[in-house]
Amino acid sequence: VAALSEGVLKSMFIKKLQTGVALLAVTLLLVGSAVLVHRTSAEPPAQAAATEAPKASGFTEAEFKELKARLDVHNQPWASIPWQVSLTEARELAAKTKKPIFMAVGTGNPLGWG
Amino acid sequence: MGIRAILLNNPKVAELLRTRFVCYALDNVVNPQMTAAEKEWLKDRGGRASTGGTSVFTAGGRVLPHGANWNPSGPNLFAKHQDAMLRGLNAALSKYHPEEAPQIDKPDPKQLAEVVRRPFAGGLALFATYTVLQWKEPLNLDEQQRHSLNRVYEKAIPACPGVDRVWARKDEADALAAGTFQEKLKQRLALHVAYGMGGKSKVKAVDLTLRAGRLTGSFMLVDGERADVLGFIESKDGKISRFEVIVKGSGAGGCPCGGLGPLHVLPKGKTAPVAIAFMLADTQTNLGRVPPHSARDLDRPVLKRNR
Repeated sequence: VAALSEGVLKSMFIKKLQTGVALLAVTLLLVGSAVLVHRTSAEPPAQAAATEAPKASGFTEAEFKELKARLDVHNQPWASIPWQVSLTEARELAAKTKKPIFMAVGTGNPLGWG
Repeated sequence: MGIRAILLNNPKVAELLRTRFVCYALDNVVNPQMTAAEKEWLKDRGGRASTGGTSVFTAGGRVLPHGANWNPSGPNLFAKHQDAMLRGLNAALSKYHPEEAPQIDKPDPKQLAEVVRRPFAGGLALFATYTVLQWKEPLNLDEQQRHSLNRVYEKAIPACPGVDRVWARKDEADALAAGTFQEKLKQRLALHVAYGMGGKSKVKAVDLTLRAGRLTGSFMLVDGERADVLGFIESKDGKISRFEVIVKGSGAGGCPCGGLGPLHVLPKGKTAPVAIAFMLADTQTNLGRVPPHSARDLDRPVLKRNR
Protein backbone atom coordinates (compact mmCIF):
# COMPACT_ATOMS: atom_id res chain seq x y z
CA VAL A 1 0.00 0.00 0.00
CA ALA A 2 2.88 2.31 0.99
CA ALA A 3 4.56 1.64 -2.32
CA LEU A 4 1.29 2.31 -4.10
CA SER A 5 0.78 5.59 -2.20
CA GLU A 6 4.33 6.67 -3.01
CA GLY A 7 3.69 5.98 -6.74
CA VAL A 8 0.48 8.00 -6.74
CA LEU A 9 2.16 10.95 -5.01
CA LYS A 10 5.08 10.85 -7.51
CA SER A 11 2.64 10.76 -10.40
CA MET A 12 0.68 13.73 -8.98
CA PHE A 13 3.90 15.72 -8.52
CA ILE A 14 4.96 15.13 -12.12
CA LYS A 15 1.50 16.14 -13.38
CA LYS A 16 1.67 19.40 -11.36
CA LEU A 17 5.14 20.08 -12.73
CA GLN A 18 3.95 19.51 -16.29
CA THR A 19 0.97 21.88 -15.79
CA GLY A 20 3.27 24.57 -14.35
CA VAL A 21 5.66 24.34 -17.30
CA ALA A 22 2.75 24.49 -19.73
CA LEU A 23 1.31 27.58 -18.00
CA LEU A 24 4.71 29.28 -18.05
CA ALA A 25 5.10 28.55 -21.76
CA VAL A 26 1.63 29.96 -22.55
CA THR A 27 2.38 33.09 -20.48
CA LEU A 28 5.69 33.66 -22.28
CA LEU A 29 4.00 33.15 -25.63
CA LEU A 30 1.27 35.70 -24.81
CA VAL A 31 3.74 38.31 -23.53
CA GLY A 32 5.95 37.82 -26.60
CA SER A 33 3.00 38.23 -28.98
CA ALA A 34 1.86 41.39 -27.20
CA VAL A 35 5.32 42.95 -27.55
CA LEU A 36 5.43 42.00 -31.24
CA VAL A 37 1.95 43.46 -31.92
CA HIS A 38 2.89 46.69 -30.11
CA ARG A 39 6.10 47.07 -32.15
CA THR A 40 4.30 46.48 -35.46
CA SER A 41 1.51 48.96 -34.77
CA ALA A 42 3.95 51.60 -33.51
CA GLU A 43 5.94 51.52 -36.74
CA PRO A 44 5.14 54.62 -38.85
CA PRO A 45 3.30 53.84 -42.12
CA ALA A 46 6.00 55.52 -44.18
CA GLN A 47 8.66 53.37 -42.56
CA ALA A 48 6.58 50.28 -43.14
CA ALA A 49 6.14 51.21 -46.80
CA ALA A 50 9.85 51.80 -47.16
CA THR A 51 10.55 48.20 -46.24
CA GLU A 52 8.47 46.99 -49.16
CA ALA A 53 10.14 46.43 -52.48
CA PRO A 54 9.19 49.06 -55.09
CA LYS A 55 6.70 47.88 -57.69
CA ALA A 56 8.03 47.15 -61.15
CA SER A 57 7.37 50.00 -63.57
CA GLY A 58 5.93 49.46 -67.03
CA PHE A 59 8.58 51.52 -68.77
CA THR A 60 12.30 52.11 -68.82
CA GLU A 61 14.41 55.13 -67.95
CA ALA A 62 15.28 55.55 -71.65
CA GLU A 63 11.60 55.77 -72.45
CA PHE A 64 11.13 58.16 -69.55
CA LYS A 65 13.80 60.46 -71.00
CA GLU A 66 12.16 60.46 -74.41
CA LEU A 67 8.68 61.17 -72.98
CA LYS A 68 10.02 63.90 -70.73
CA ALA A 69 11.42 65.80 -73.72
CA ARG A 70 8.12 65.41 -75.51
CA LEU A 71 5.97 66.51 -72.59
CA ASP A 72 8.11 69.35 -71.25
CA VAL A 73 6.32 72.65 -71.97
CA HIS A 74 9.67 74.43 -72.12
CA ASN A 75 10.37 72.64 -75.40
CA GLN A 76 7.27 74.23 -76.94
CA PRO A 77 7.71 77.39 -79.09
CA TRP A 78 4.65 79.05 -77.46
CA ALA A 79 6.30 78.71 -74.03
CA SER A 80 9.36 80.70 -75.15
CA ILE A 81 7.21 83.88 -75.26
CA PRO A 82 7.39 86.03 -72.09
CA TRP A 83 3.65 86.00 -71.41
CA GLN A 84 1.79 88.47 -69.23
CA VAL A 85 -1.21 87.29 -67.23
CA SER A 86 -2.35 90.69 -65.94
CA LEU A 87 -3.99 93.14 -68.33
CA THR A 88 -2.73 96.23 -66.51
CA GLU A 89 0.82 94.90 -66.28
CA ALA A 90 0.70 94.07 -69.99
CA ARG A 91 -0.43 97.61 -70.79
CA GLU A 92 2.28 99.14 -68.58
CA LEU A 93 4.96 97.00 -70.20
CA ALA A 94 3.66 97.84 -73.68
CA ALA A 95 3.78 101.57 -72.89
CA LYS A 96 7.31 101.26 -71.50
CA THR A 97 8.73 99.13 -74.32
CA LYS A 98 6.68 100.83 -77.08
CA LYS A 99 5.26 97.59 -78.40
CA PRO A 100 1.69 96.61 -79.27
CA ILE A 101 -0.16 94.03 -77.18
CA PHE A 102 -1.06 90.67 -78.65
CA MET A 103 -3.87 89.05 -76.68
CA ALA A 104 -4.75 85.36 -76.85
CA VAL A 105 -8.18 84.55 -75.35
CA GLY A 106 -9.54 81.14 -74.44
CA THR A 107 -12.19 79.30 -72.48
CA GLY A 108 -9.59 78.43 -69.92
CA ASN A 109 -6.16 80.01 -70.05
CA PRO A 110 -4.47 79.75 -73.47
CA LEU A 111 -1.28 78.91 -71.55
CA GLY A 112 -3.08 76.01 -69.92
CA TRP A 113 -6.27 74.14 -70.53
CA GLY A 114 -7.78 76.73 -72.89
CA MET B 1 -5.25 74.26 -76.78
CA GLY B 2 -6.31 75.23 -80.30
CA ILE B 3 -4.56 78.59 -80.37
CA ARG B 4 -1.36 77.09 -79.00
CA ALA B 5 -1.35 74.10 -81.32
CA ILE B 6 -2.41 75.88 -84.47
CA LEU B 7 -0.88 79.33 -84.23
CA LEU B 8 1.50 79.92 -81.35
CA ASN B 9 3.55 76.76 -81.83
CA ASN B 10 4.75 77.94 -85.23
CA PRO B 11 8.39 78.96 -84.53
CA LYS B 12 8.07 81.98 -86.86
CA VAL B 13 4.91 83.20 -85.11
CA ALA B 14 6.46 82.60 -81.68
CA GLU B 15 9.62 84.50 -82.66
CA LEU B 16 7.63 87.48 -83.96
CA LEU B 17 5.49 87.60 -80.83
CA ARG B 18 8.51 87.22 -78.53
CA THR B 19 10.44 90.08 -80.09
CA ARG B 20 7.90 92.62 -81.35
CA PHE B 21 4.86 92.30 -79.06
CA VAL B 22 3.87 92.23 -75.42
CA CYS B 23 1.85 89.03 -75.18
CA TYR B 24 -1.07 88.70 -72.83
CA ALA B 25 -3.03 85.49 -72.21
CA LEU B 26 -6.61 85.67 -70.92
CA ASP B 27 -8.88 82.96 -69.62
CA ASN B 28 -12.09 84.76 -70.38
CA VAL B 29 -14.50 82.32 -68.81
CA VAL B 30 -13.23 80.39 -65.83
CA ASN B 31 -10.52 82.49 -64.17
CA PRO B 32 -10.31 85.89 -65.89
CA GLN B 33 -8.26 87.29 -62.99
CA MET B 34 -9.43 90.79 -63.89
CA THR B 35 -11.20 93.48 -61.93
CA ALA B 36 -14.54 94.78 -63.15
CA ALA B 37 -12.82 97.95 -64.39
CA GLU B 38 -10.24 95.97 -66.37
CA LYS B 39 -13.01 93.85 -67.87
CA GLU B 40 -14.94 96.96 -68.88
CA TRP B 41 -11.84 98.46 -70.53
CA LEU B 42 -11.15 95.28 -72.48
CA LYS B 43 -14.66 94.52 -73.70
CA ASP B 44 -14.35 96.39 -77.00
CA ARG B 45 -10.78 95.25 -77.56
CA GLY B 46 -11.39 91.53 -77.84
CA GLY B 47 -12.58 90.97 -74.30
CA ARG B 48 -16.01 89.77 -75.35
CA ALA B 49 -14.63 86.54 -76.84
CA SER B 50 -16.33 83.59 -75.22
CA THR B 51 -14.47 80.69 -76.76
CA GLY B 52 -11.14 81.57 -78.30
CA GLY B 53 -9.56 84.32 -80.31
CA THR B 54 -6.77 86.81 -80.70
CA SER B 55 -6.64 90.59 -80.64
CA VAL B 56 -3.97 93.27 -81.09
CA PHE B 57 -4.19 96.70 -79.45
CA THR B 58 -1.99 99.44 -78.05
CA ALA B 59 -1.33 100.27 -74.40
CA GLY B 60 -3.75 103.17 -74.77
CA GLY B 61 -6.44 100.94 -76.23
CA ARG B 62 -6.34 101.52 -80.01
CA VAL B 63 -7.28 98.27 -81.74
CA LEU B 64 -4.99 97.22 -84.60
CA PRO B 65 -6.77 94.98 -87.10
CA HIS B 66 -4.58 91.96 -87.76
CA GLY B 67 -7.02 90.02 -89.91
CA ALA B 68 -5.97 86.69 -88.56
CA ASN B 69 -8.35 85.94 -85.77
CA TRP B 70 -8.42 82.32 -84.92
CA ASN B 71 -11.45 80.90 -86.63
CA PRO B 72 -10.50 77.81 -88.54
CA SER B 73 -12.86 76.18 -90.99
CA GLY B 74 -12.32 74.15 -94.11
CA PRO B 75 -9.37 71.98 -95.16
CA ASN B 76 -5.61 72.50 -94.80
CA LEU B 77 -5.99 75.14 -92.16
CA PHE B 78 -2.95 74.20 -90.18
CA ALA B 79 -0.62 75.82 -92.73
CA LYS B 80 -3.09 78.41 -93.95
CA HIS B 81 -3.78 79.97 -90.58
CA GLN B 82 -0.16 80.14 -89.51
CA ASP B 83 0.66 82.08 -92.68
CA ALA B 84 -2.39 84.28 -92.15
CA MET B 85 -1.27 84.97 -88.61
CA LEU B 86 2.20 86.02 -89.73
CA ARG B 87 0.76 88.34 -92.38
CA GLY B 88 -1.77 89.76 -89.89
CA LEU B 89 0.81 90.40 -87.18
CA ASN B 90 3.10 92.17 -89.64
CA ALA B 91 0.16 94.26 -90.87
CA ALA B 92 -0.65 95.28 -87.28
CA LEU B 93 3.01 96.23 -86.69
CA SER B 94 2.99 98.42 -89.80
CA LYS B 95 0.06 100.40 -88.36
CA TYR B 96 1.43 100.67 -84.84
CA HIS B 97 2.40 104.07 -83.45
CA PRO B 98 3.08 104.16 -79.71
CA GLU B 99 1.08 106.68 -77.71
CA GLU B 100 3.04 109.40 -75.88
CA ALA B 101 1.66 108.78 -72.39
CA PRO B 102 -1.30 106.43 -72.42
CA GLN B 103 -3.59 106.65 -69.40
CA ILE B 104 -3.42 103.38 -67.51
CA ASP B 105 -5.50 103.23 -64.35
CA LYS B 106 -4.16 101.04 -61.57
CA PRO B 107 -6.68 98.40 -60.53
CA ASP B 108 -8.06 98.55 -57.02
CA PRO B 109 -5.73 96.35 -54.90
CA LYS B 110 -8.62 94.95 -52.83
CA GLN B 111 -10.56 93.94 -55.92
CA LEU B 112 -7.41 92.55 -57.51
CA ALA B 113 -6.67 90.42 -54.44
CA GLU B 114 -10.15 88.90 -54.77
CA VAL B 115 -9.76 87.84 -58.39
CA VAL B 116 -6.09 86.95 -58.79
CA ARG B 117 -4.99 83.49 -57.78
CA ARG B 118 -1.36 82.67 -57.15
CA PRO B 119 0.39 79.43 -56.19
CA PHE B 120 0.74 78.86 -52.44
CA ALA B 121 3.75 80.52 -50.83
CA GLY B 122 6.25 77.74 -50.19
CA GLY B 123 4.05 75.28 -52.04
CA LEU B 124 4.44 73.55 -55.36
CA ALA B 125 3.21 74.36 -58.84
CA LEU B 126 3.39 71.57 -61.37
CA PHE B 127 2.71 71.45 -65.08
CA ALA B 128 0.41 68.57 -66.01
CA THR B 129 0.93 67.75 -69.69
CA TYR B 130 -0.85 65.21 -71.84
CA THR B 131 -0.02 63.61 -75.16
CA VAL B 132 -1.08 60.72 -77.35
CA LEU B 133 1.93 58.56 -78.15
CA GLN B 134 0.82 56.86 -81.33
CA TRP B 135 -2.32 55.94 -83.14
CA LYS B 136 -3.22 52.29 -83.08
CA GLU B 137 -5.06 52.81 -86.34
CA PRO B 138 -5.63 55.72 -88.72
CA LEU B 139 -8.10 58.29 -87.45
CA ASN B 140 -11.46 58.23 -89.08
CA LEU B 141 -12.26 61.90 -88.95
CA ASP B 142 -15.53 61.38 -90.79
CA GLU B 143 -16.88 60.19 -87.47
CA GLN B 144 -16.15 63.56 -85.95
CA GLN B 145 -17.07 66.05 -88.61
CA ARG B 146 -19.00 68.00 -86.02
CA HIS B 147 -15.65 69.29 -84.83
CA SER B 148 -14.06 71.14 -87.73
CA LEU B 149 -11.04 71.67 -85.53
CA ASN B 150 -10.17 68.02 -85.67
CA ARG B 151 -8.58 68.29 -89.10
CA VAL B 152 -6.24 70.87 -87.66
CA TYR B 153 -5.67 69.07 -84.41
CA GLU B 154 -4.67 65.89 -86.19
CA LYS B 155 -1.60 67.62 -87.58
CA ALA B 156 -0.88 69.54 -84.42
CA ILE B 157 -1.13 66.58 -82.07
CA PRO B 158 2.41 65.23 -82.41
CA ALA B 159 3.90 68.60 -81.53
CA CYS B 160 1.66 70.18 -78.93
CA PRO B 161 0.74 68.51 -75.64
CA GLY B 162 -2.35 69.51 -73.66
CA VAL B 163 -1.39 71.52 -70.56
CA ASP B 164 -2.84 72.09 -67.12
CA ARG B 165 -1.48 72.76 -63.64
CA VAL B 166 -1.46 71.10 -60.22
CA TRP B 167 -0.88 73.09 -57.06
CA ALA B 168 0.23 71.76 -53.68
CA ARG B 169 0.16 73.55 -50.35
CA LYS B 170 3.29 74.28 -48.32
CA ASP B 171 2.63 71.44 -45.87
CA GLU B 172 2.28 68.99 -48.76
CA ALA B 173 5.47 70.28 -50.39
CA ASP B 174 7.38 70.13 -47.09
CA ALA B 175 6.21 66.57 -46.44
CA LEU B 176 7.26 65.55 -49.94
CA ALA B 177 10.68 67.13 -49.46
CA ALA B 178 10.98 65.02 -46.30
CA GLY B 179 10.13 61.87 -48.27
CA THR B 180 6.38 61.51 -47.64
CA PHE B 181 4.08 61.69 -50.64
CA GLN B 182 0.80 62.63 -49.01
CA GLU B 183 -2.32 60.78 -50.08
CA LYS B 184 -4.23 63.95 -50.88
CA LEU B 185 -1.56 65.06 -53.34
CA LYS B 186 -1.50 61.60 -54.91
CA GLN B 187 -5.27 61.83 -55.36
CA ARG B 188 -4.89 65.24 -56.99
CA LEU B 189 -2.57 63.69 -59.57
CA ALA B 190 -4.96 60.75 -59.89
CA LEU B 191 -7.77 62.99 -61.12
CA HIS B 192 -5.53 64.26 -63.91
CA VAL B 193 -4.67 60.66 -64.73
CA ALA B 194 -8.35 59.69 -64.91
CA TYR B 195 -9.05 62.71 -67.08
CA GLY B 196 -6.04 62.07 -69.29
CA MET B 197 -6.99 58.46 -69.79
CA GLY B 198 -10.33 59.40 -71.28
CA GLY B 199 -12.14 61.58 -68.81
CA LYS B 200 -14.94 59.19 -68.05
CA SER B 201 -13.06 56.74 -65.90
CA LYS B 202 -11.97 57.15 -62.32
CA VAL B 203 -8.90 56.01 -60.46
CA LYS B 204 -9.74 53.09 -58.20
CA ALA B 205 -6.37 52.65 -56.51
CA VAL B 206 -3.10 54.52 -56.34
CA ASP B 207 -0.08 52.36 -55.64
CA LEU B 208 3.03 54.52 -55.53
CA THR B 209 6.31 53.90 -53.76
CA LEU B 210 8.81 56.70 -53.22
CA ARG B 211 12.22 55.43 -52.28
CA ALA B 212 15.50 57.32 -52.50
CA GLY B 213 14.02 59.88 -54.86
CA ARG B 214 12.58 57.33 -57.26
CA LEU B 215 8.83 56.99 -57.65
CA THR B 216 7.39 53.78 -59.07
CA GLY B 217 3.99 52.11 -59.12
CA SER B 218 0.70 52.55 -60.89
CA PHE B 219 -2.74 54.11 -61.02
CA MET B 220 -5.51 51.52 -61.39
CA LEU B 221 -8.66 52.80 -63.08
CA VAL B 222 -12.16 51.52 -62.40
CA ASP B 223 -12.49 50.28 -65.97
CA GLY B 224 -9.58 47.90 -65.33
CA GLU B 225 -6.93 49.91 -67.19
CA ARG B 226 -3.59 50.31 -65.45
CA ALA B 227 -1.34 53.33 -65.87
CA ASP B 228 2.32 52.80 -65.00
CA VAL B 229 4.37 55.42 -63.23
CA LEU B 230 8.04 56.29 -63.24
CA GLY B 231 9.32 59.45 -61.64
CA PHE B 232 12.07 61.28 -59.83
CA ILE B 233 11.42 63.52 -56.86
CA GLU B 234 14.38 65.18 -55.19
CA SER B 235 14.83 67.87 -52.58
CA LYS B 236 17.55 70.28 -51.56
CA ASP B 237 17.62 72.28 -48.33
CA GLY B 238 14.09 71.11 -47.50
CA LYS B 239 12.63 72.24 -50.84
CA ILE B 240 11.61 70.16 -53.82
CA SER B 241 14.30 70.64 -56.47
CA ARG B 242 13.12 68.01 -58.95
CA PHE B 243 9.65 66.70 -59.64
CA GLU B 244 9.42 64.71 -62.84
CA VAL B 245 6.72 62.07 -62.87
CA ILE B 246 5.43 60.38 -66.00
CA VAL B 247 2.35 58.19 -66.23
CA LYS B 248 1.80 55.93 -69.20
CA GLY B 249 -1.46 54.23 -70.03
CA SER B 250 -4.23 54.04 -72.54
CA GLY B 251 -6.63 56.85 -73.46
CA ALA B 252 -10.10 56.49 -74.92
CA GLY B 253 -11.85 58.84 -77.32
CA GLY B 254 -15.22 60.37 -76.69
CA CYS B 255 -14.33 63.15 -74.28
CA PRO B 256 -15.70 66.42 -75.59
CA CYS B 257 -13.24 68.52 -73.60
CA GLY B 258 -10.97 70.59 -75.80
CA GLY B 259 -8.37 71.06 -73.11
CA LEU B 260 -7.04 67.60 -73.63
CA GLY B 261 -6.26 68.44 -77.20
CA PRO B 262 -4.55 65.21 -78.16
CA LEU B 263 -7.35 62.98 -76.92
CA HIS B 264 -9.99 65.34 -78.26
CA VAL B 265 -9.61 63.99 -81.77
CA LEU B 266 -9.68 60.30 -80.87
CA PRO B 267 -12.84 58.84 -82.38
CA LYS B 268 -15.35 57.73 -79.80
CA GLY B 269 -14.59 54.27 -78.48
CA LYS B 270 -11.09 54.15 -80.00
CA THR B 271 -8.07 53.93 -77.75
CA ALA B 272 -4.46 55.02 -78.05
CA PRO B 273 -1.42 54.97 -75.76
CA VAL B 274 -1.27 58.14 -73.72
CA ALA B 275 1.38 59.75 -71.53
CA ILE B 276 0.89 62.34 -68.82
CA ALA B 277 3.73 64.21 -67.15
CA PHE B 278 3.87 66.20 -63.94
CA MET B 279 6.82 68.57 -63.86
CA LEU B 280 7.94 71.43 -61.68
CA ALA B 281 6.83 74.92 -62.74
CA ASP B 282 8.79 78.02 -61.80
CA THR B 283 6.38 80.16 -59.79
CA GLN B 284 8.57 83.21 -60.35
CA THR B 285 7.43 83.24 -63.97
CA ASN B 286 3.98 84.11 -65.30
CA LEU B 287 3.89 80.76 -67.10
CA GLY B 288 4.36 79.02 -63.77
CA ARG B 289 1.67 81.11 -62.06
CA VAL B 290 -1.27 80.16 -64.28
CA PRO B 291 -3.83 78.48 -61.99
CA PRO B 292 -5.21 74.98 -62.48
CA HIS B 293 -8.26 74.91 -64.71
CA SER B 294 -11.44 74.68 -62.70
CA ALA B 295 -12.57 71.45 -64.36
CA ARG B 296 -9.68 69.84 -62.55
CA ASP B 297 -9.37 72.43 -59.81
CA LEU B 298 -9.26 69.39 -57.67
CA ASP B 299 -9.20 70.91 -54.29
CA ARG B 300 -11.50 73.84 -54.74
CA PRO B 301 -11.90 74.85 -51.08
CA VAL B 302 -8.14 74.78 -50.55
CA LEU B 303 -7.46 76.85 -53.62
CA LYS B 304 -10.15 79.32 -52.70
CA ARG B 305 -8.43 79.98 -49.41
CA ASN B 306 -5.37 81.03 -51.36
CA ARG B 307 -7.14 83.89 -53.08
